[in-house]
Amino acid sequence: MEKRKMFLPQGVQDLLIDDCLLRRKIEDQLMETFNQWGYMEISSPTLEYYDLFTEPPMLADGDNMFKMIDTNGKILVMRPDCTIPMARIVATKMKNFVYPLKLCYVENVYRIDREQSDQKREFRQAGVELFGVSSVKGDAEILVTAIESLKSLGLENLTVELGHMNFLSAFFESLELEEEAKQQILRLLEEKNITGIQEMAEIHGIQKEKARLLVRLPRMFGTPQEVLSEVKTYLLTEDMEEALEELKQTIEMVEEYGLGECLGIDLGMVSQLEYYTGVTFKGFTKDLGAIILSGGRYDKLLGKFGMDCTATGFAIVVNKLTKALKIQNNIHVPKRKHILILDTQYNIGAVKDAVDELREGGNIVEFCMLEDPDKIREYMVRRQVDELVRIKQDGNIEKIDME
Amino acid sequence: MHGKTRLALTKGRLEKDTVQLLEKSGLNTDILKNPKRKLILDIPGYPLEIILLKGSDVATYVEHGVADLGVVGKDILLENPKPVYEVADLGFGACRMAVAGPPAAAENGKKLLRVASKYPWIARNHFEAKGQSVEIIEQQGSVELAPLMGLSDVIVDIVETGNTLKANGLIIMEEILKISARLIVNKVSYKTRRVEMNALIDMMEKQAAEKGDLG
Repeated sequence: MEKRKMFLPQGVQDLLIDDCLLRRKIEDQLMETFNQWGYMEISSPTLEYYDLFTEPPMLADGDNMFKMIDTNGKILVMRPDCTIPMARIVATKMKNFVYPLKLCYVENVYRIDREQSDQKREFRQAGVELFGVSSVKGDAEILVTAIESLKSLGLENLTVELGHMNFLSAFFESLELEEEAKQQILRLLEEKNITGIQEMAEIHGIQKEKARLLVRLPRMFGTPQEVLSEVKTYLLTEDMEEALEELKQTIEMVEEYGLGECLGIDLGMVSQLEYYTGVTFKGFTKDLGAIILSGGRYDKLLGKFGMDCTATGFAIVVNKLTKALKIQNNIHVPKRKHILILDTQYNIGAVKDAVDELREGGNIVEFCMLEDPDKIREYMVRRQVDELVRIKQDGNIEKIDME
Repeated sequence: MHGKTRLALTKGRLEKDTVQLLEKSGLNTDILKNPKRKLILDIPGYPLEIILLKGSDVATYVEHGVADLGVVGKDILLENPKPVYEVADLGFGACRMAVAGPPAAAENGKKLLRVASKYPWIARNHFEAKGQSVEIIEQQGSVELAPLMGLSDVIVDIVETGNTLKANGLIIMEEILKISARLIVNKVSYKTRRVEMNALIDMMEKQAAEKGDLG
């Protein structure tokens, strides 16, 4: 018990000075880009009802959330996802806004999810949601916004890989599997476990031509041209063709905008979030072995709240982005000029004007609280103080040399 | 980010099998046979470096992308699942995860079964799926001793030959699943080093298949 007051629970962390500076800079820049693209910030509460996230097609696994019992006995959770609360807000409070509706957020999320957070159980997501655009224009818009947001911070070597939920679901429908077998194969596909898929294809007697594609799916990723031309050599249903056409058009629009070079396709992409319905994507850089960005289309989600509205969006995992930027050595918070006022000579009411003058241009100006010259020197070195000054009786500022 | 593709091997038996496999694929593995305390081993003439780790660390290194690929037992992946791609079953290191105990234990239906294991997660999952309540007693080694001393009713452990069990009067009561060495890869590395990694995966898979056919 004694130790507990000194340490933190698993998966959470304190952020000290530099971490906070960096976080603010990154989040401000992301928010600035979102705003410039026409997205407006909203915020949902940290606490929501458990039921909001567990009823299908939401995050199925209640085990991964932090639960609390409300005073009246109802089960609450700490927000494990931002998109579902956004959908709730739009459907219940923003139905009469002008559409397409463009919203964005930066929030903490709380869940156990290794793909986005490794050991962390509290992490920050910055994201946007676009409501009311059903065409590929919406998918392309979201992709471009995501890529521009990351590039605005100087992230290099970005790859954004696209998949399509309808391609997978149409293919699995044509396999005519029982639900349990389907889930098993989807899990194996997520692991890119070719051996396992081969075995399952044999066990369930999947027709040869279809099995050929199923076994190949784990490796069907790469540049859009490669993947789209390879997949054409397989037998595809009409729905699968349609999904591929959507992917192709989305990619073409991003290419036309001028950001095509960072796009890829992974037709074997399986999304852990059950609410996705169309184009999905994940972003990463070769410098960090983790997913930084994820998103996609979720046209059915608002229906759960009684509103018929298409939607697409993305979330950036701020912690991962920060890590990648640090590794690439691409993020610097400019140092401000730091001035320490040693003392002020007696002059009623005149100090404020002098301090205001010193603060002009965003300088840090603080009064010295120390007496001992050695301690003042140490403070100046460790806080990287640039100037030591005195405010004189006539209100003028005199620089002092501590040496 | 490291330049060469990095492969993490599980020290011990799986390491030997993997080195043999790499050698048969035509790689110069001299340095692997005599590492001289070096921790990062560079394969001459092939864009690959090898690191040697304990099994559970292999999965962790690959999860974080510090290693791009890893060779690790399926038991480790099951006991502590990680978000990595599991791209190939290399076939070697084959054994079984099984429930074992004294012959008498097989007949006694118990409300609460005491299970000793180095694999608490696998053990719990297995019995829970069958609707059997269990008390898991986690062990670090010599699991066979637990039922003999009355610490547990049964054990869940890896069985290779079954000789240790037999020598201690224990029998296999139930096979849970087959275990073998798996090739795992980091999710991002696989995308950003696709060509090199696919070449390596194909090469290792091909050798493993040939070895499997012979054995």
